[in-house]
Amino acid sequence: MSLAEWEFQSLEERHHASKPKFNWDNSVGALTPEVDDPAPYELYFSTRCESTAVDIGRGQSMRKSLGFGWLGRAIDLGPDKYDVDLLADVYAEMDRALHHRQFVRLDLLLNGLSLDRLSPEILVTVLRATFRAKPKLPQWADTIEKFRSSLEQRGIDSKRALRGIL
Amino acid sequence: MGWLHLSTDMPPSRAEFVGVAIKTTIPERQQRHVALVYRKTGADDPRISHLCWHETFRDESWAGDMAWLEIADLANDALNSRSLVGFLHRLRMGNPLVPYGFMDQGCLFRVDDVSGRIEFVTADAQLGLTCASFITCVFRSIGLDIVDEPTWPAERPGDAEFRKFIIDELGKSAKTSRRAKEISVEKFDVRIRPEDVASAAAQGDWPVQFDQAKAIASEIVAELDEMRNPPRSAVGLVEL
Repeated sequence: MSLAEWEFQSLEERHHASKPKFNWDNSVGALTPEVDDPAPYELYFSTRCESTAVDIGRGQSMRKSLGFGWLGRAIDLGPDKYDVDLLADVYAEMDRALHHRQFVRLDLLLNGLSLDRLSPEILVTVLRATFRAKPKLPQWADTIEKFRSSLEQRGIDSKRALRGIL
Repeated sequence: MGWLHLSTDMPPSRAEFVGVAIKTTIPERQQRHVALVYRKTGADDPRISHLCWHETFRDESWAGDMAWLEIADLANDALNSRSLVGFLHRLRMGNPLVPYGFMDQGCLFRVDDVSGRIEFVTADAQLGLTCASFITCVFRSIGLDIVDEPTWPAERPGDAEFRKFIIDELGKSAKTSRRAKEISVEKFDVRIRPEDVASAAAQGDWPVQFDQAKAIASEIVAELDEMRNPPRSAVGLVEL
């Protein structure tokens, strides 16, 4: 089993464990259109590196990532490494999720990540890419605390690393 | 020199290096241009990311024609420098069409779901960015406000002339004349000048208030002027 598959399975387990917190049939469901028609869970949290080349005109093409492909790549890279392409994809994919108002999906993902498997660069970038939606993310305060704690455990000044978004 | 490195000095070869580059473009109008300078990795050449003109965003190799300074707030903050470089790389890959304008409140960068490109989104046709507000918008997008805009004066001497000059220039080209009609001399947000951005970048306590920015901005302008017109002794040294 690859690390990405492990993470996927782990996330899925946590999702079921946290299900009572998110009542898919009533109040939280009313917050976002996506919950009214929930897609299969694996579509929400796919960590596979799904991507396809898209013609963007002007003779250029770029890779369009589907789902949260960055997560599998970040886990495979490990907690001590980063690369700029991956950070750029984190911004792009989180932005796309916000654009589609997938707040429940994001909230679950952020709160359920195995932070110690991800590099500090990824942690900081994930939060900088999503902070604009914090009023829509019910577990944001808890999520922030988990991220801060993970950074502090690595000897990083979390207050400074996350300035502007706390 | 105090704040600025000469354009001939190569920015440091650190992966997390991010700086601000500035130059005087039209000396008689005291018009300047500002850009972000960064390295994707330590092995890559430095690049500049900037808004040159209406719908003319560029991310290009460092040409060595601008003075520069390292962003003080990020100098000892590799995590946020790297995250910012990730954001700039995303802009580079998306090559967004950014309109020029004097009002920027509500402007944001967003990924288009169909094309996968990053777009610049405005709620109003009059909204757009200058070279300086492009930089403040980039930082705002990742949660870092570098300037405290409410502390800036609503209008300073020269601002109205600047807007009129820009609209006149936009009107001269068939490609941009429509934009000249969309934006107005009368509708504007506070103007953050290129030297204000450079000044904020030189300081480590963000967001920088106008009074803090003003003094260093003046010194940066003086340095740029000196680079254009070096004192006679310095000219002699260069010639030697």
